[in-house]
Formats: sequence, C-alpha cells, structure tokens
Amino acid sequence: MNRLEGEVRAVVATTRKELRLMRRYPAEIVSLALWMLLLPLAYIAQATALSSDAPASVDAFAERAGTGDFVAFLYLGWSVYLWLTAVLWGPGLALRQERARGSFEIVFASPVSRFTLLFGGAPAQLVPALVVFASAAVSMRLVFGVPLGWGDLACWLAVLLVAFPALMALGAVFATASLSLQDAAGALQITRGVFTLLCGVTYPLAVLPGALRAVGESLPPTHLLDALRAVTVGSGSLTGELPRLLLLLAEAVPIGAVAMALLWLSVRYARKTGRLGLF
Amino acid sequence: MTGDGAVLALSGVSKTFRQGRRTLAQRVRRAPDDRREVCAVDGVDLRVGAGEILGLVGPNGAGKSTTVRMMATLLEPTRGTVEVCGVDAVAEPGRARRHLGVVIGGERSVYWKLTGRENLEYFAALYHLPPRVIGARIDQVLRDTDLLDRAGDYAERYSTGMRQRLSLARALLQEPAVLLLDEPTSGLDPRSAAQLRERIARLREDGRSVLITTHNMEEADRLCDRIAVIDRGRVVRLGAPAELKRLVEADQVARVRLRVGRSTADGELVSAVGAFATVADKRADGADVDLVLHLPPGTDLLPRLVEVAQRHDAVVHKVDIEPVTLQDVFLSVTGPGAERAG
Repeated sequence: MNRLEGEVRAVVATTRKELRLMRRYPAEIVSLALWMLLLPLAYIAQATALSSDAPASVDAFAERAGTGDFVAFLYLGWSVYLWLTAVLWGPGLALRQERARGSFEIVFASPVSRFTLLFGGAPAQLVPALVVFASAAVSMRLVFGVPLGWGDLACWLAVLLVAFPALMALGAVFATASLSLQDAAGALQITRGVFTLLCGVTYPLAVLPGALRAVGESLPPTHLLDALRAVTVGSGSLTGELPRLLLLLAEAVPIGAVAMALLWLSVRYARKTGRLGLF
Repeated sequence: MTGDGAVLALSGVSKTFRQGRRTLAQRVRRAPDDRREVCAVDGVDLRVGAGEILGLVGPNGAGKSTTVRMMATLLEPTRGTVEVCGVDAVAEPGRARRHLGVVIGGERSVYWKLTGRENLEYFAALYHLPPRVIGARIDQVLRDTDLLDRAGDYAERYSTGMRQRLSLARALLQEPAVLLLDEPTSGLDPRSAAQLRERIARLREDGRSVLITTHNMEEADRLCDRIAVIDRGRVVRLGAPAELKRLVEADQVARVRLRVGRSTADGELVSAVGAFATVADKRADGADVDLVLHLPPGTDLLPRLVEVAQRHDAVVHKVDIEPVTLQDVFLSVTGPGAERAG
C-alpha cells in the first residue's frame, strides 16, 4: 500500500470514528436541531414587534437586505451561525480534546501525516451541517410557510458543499491555535461573537459602519451567507453566484495552508518544550 | 539496527527545559530569556538489543518519561541522537515511528465510546496497515492480550487492566520491533499486573525489544534482562538485576525498629550499629528509629543488635531479615546522598 492510499484510508477511518462518536453522543446533534428551530423564533418575534408589520418598515429592511422575507433571512443567518459554532466546538477543539483525553500523543506517535491529523475527521462534519440546514428548512416550511422547494434545497446543498472546505479550514486554524491557548472556550466565544457581528447573521451588513462592513464582506462565512440568501430569497441563481462560490472555494486553500503552518509551528514548539501531552 | 546490534540506541541524549512562562510582551519586545534552565535528562546512553527487555527505573521526576518520550519521537532532545532500528529518530521521526509501538498515558489513551475492536480498526488505519491484513492482525493482538471475547464491548465497560491491555494491543498492531511501555502496570491490581507482565515477557519470546519504565522494583527484577537506574536525569547504574544486587555489598538486608529511651542519642546508637552492619537508611519517628542495614556475609545480627540496644537504653522492637532486593539497590543509588556511578 502506497503512502497516499494509506492516508486516504486513515481519513476514512478517522471519519468513521467521528461518525461513531457522534452517534454515541447524540445530545450535541439533537441540541443543534432544536437550537435551529428555536433560536430564530425570538428574533423573528422581535423583528415583527419592531416593524409592526408596517409595509414601510419591511420596505426599509428589504432595501438594505435585498429581500423583505425576514423569516428566511434570519433562519439562514442562524443556520450559518450554528454551523460555524458546530465547527468551532467540533473540529475547532478536536486536537485540544484529544490532548485532554490523553490520546493526542498516541495519535501523534503514529506514522499518519499531520494533514490527516488535522483534517481527517472533516468529512464527518457534514452531518451537523446537514442537521442544521434540514432543521432550518423544516421550520421555515412548516412553521412560517416559506415556499421552499426541492430546487432550493439542492441549491443549498451545492452552496454548502462549496463552502465546506473553507469552514473546515477555519475550524482547523482554530484547532491549532487552541492548542496553545490557556482559555480555548473563551477564545471560541470571542471568535463566534466576532463572526456574529461582522457576517450579518441577524442584520444586513449595509447597516454596519464602512470599515466593519469591509471586514465583514471579506470573511468566508459572509460569502456563504450571502450566497445562501441570494439563491433562496434573493434574485440570484446558482450560476449567478458562481464567482462568489468559486472565491469561497479558493479561500479554503490559503486558510488551510495557515492551519497547516500553525500546526507545524505548534507541534515543533511542543516537541521542543514537551507540551504535546500537557493540558 | 545499529552497528552493535542494538535496535534502540540513545547516545549522549540530553533534554533541557526552561522553567516558567515567557509572556507575550517579553516575546514581542525580544527581551532576554532569563528563565532558569532545568536539565531533565543529562547525557543518557542506552542500548536495547533485539529480544531484550530493558527496565528504566528511577524516582519521580528522574527523567524516565522524558527519556521515553524522546524515544517515541514525541519530544526532541536538546543534544544527542536516538536511533530506532538504524533510523535517526530525531531527523526522521516519521520513519522511526514505523518501528515503534508506544504505550503512554495508560487507559486514557483509548477511546472509551468505541469498542475494543473499533479502537484497533482506527489505529490500524493510522498505522497504514494494508486492509487485507487488518482483520487477522486485530484478532491476533486481541487474542494475545486476552480481549478477543470482549472485543465488541465499549472500552468504557472495560476494567482498568483491560484498557491497559487494549493499549498494549494497539501498540502491537504494526508488529513493531521496539515497544516503549511507560508504567504499563500502574494502577492495576496485583493479578492484572501479573497477567500484563506475563504478556510483556511473551513479547521477548517473539523477538521484540521492550523498554519499560516502572516504579515497581519486583516487576523490574522479574521482567527485565537489564535495568537502568536513572536519577536526576542520568543513568547511575546499568546492568542485569543480579549484577545490580551485587552492588549492595551484603547478602542480606535487615529492617530494624528500635525504641529508644529519652536519654539515648540516635547518632551514637547508629554509630554503634555501624560497627557490624552498613546503615543504608535511617528514619526516626518519635521514640522509634527505623534502620535499614546491609549485612555482610556471616553476620550474626541479633545478639550484637541486642547488646548495642541494651548499651544505649534502647529496645529491639522488630527485625525483618530478607535477601537483597532491587529496592535496596534503588534506595542506595538514588536520592540526594547517593553516589554517582563512575
């Protein structure tokens, strides 16, 4: 068996292990589905109260957001937020959890590549993503009557698959950074908060000051969110969104490279200082 | 293999750590690093031959685990070389790992929510084992570690001893030439520890080389072909258990408890005992004085001890006489007052 084949099999085995662990700790997946159902409701209620269903208010929102369907706008915003949260909590803390569990050194002492160590479990992360968006679709359709068809869902799936590498790369950057952090949970909350603020989860980026808007518009989750909103409630189509999607796909490469470089640096540091097995 | 036939060879290996933290501000302004340097391992030379079990014993903090981690490629030596089956483990850790089986971290190093077999399937893939051999190899290591009938149970349902055996099974998966076992029997009950020791002894019969760290001197004595005693980062003694026991210049060791009177001076009493036996250790607890005495051949201890006790207003409370053990060697060659090997 050549090296590449061995690595592919290692990725498959890591994915299978992650899927088994997800199945055996189902509370996380169930809570994601429930959060997806409940979280937007509070914001939809708030939006309804603030606008009083007045056409002028909805028009003002539509002018900034590109759609007056604030239900779909909010559901999609929270979907991306929850997926990002799942990525940060999951792959983002995976190496740290391995270290806390005591298995990190053993995995590290195997001949498997650092790439597999970092990205081996990534394919399994499609499950939380699909759970989040399936829950969003069911809630939008059944609770609010948003007219979602199979075509819309196929578009979502295509966007998700394109965005998947970039999101996994972001998770990998956090995973390597969290190895050196004293308080990874605190850093995670800050990261999540920054993305919530800058990516337009609950409001259109048009309301942000120019500098913040510019930063927000450059972030991969914003591209993902914009693409999803455009193909669902906007005037966009999958082909129309192609440039944005290609950019999203391309962003995975430098972010992934940063993650690999960070892992290389932190492992090198840990091998010198003996911190590989410390927590 | 190295030129002298060793499958694992450490030459002049040292590891220095800096104590304390260096703040981000210090790093940014490139302030001089004035943290204290601590030498955890200091110029260690070790060779493990094919089919040999080498024990690494020493007090807590002596440098055993640091040494094992350097062999396992988890830690980079500050100086020196580590060779595993002729591969430079510092320069080519990836190649060296193909010859190594590592048991570190004990029962925590397996996934508790996976079954024993699932744990092994996962690690078999990480070791790049060909798919056609994985099933048979897993069955083999499960059989070797007596876990075959419990292979379908979650590791969380295993006892501590079974999880340790699962760790050993995992280390055996890629049929490594060298096994590094860091305190594998730690936390096990005597029966489980004995069973695990039996399995480790069988590895030698299979031609594997084993380096094992332990605090259990009896275990080291029974299991190891040679033992390296490490103290304050240096190998202070190295040899077969029988050779090491000869370092204690006595046939027997007596553990004596004397109850002394108020007027008795401990020092005088110990000096008097020292006239016919070597006082290897002395501890005083109130009126009780515990002595460990190394007895030269032919020493008739009791009459002389009673005579000295009476002369110094003391009472002999307890006397246990045993053959010299590795424990005695360990106590005599480690610790603050111990002599360094020449």
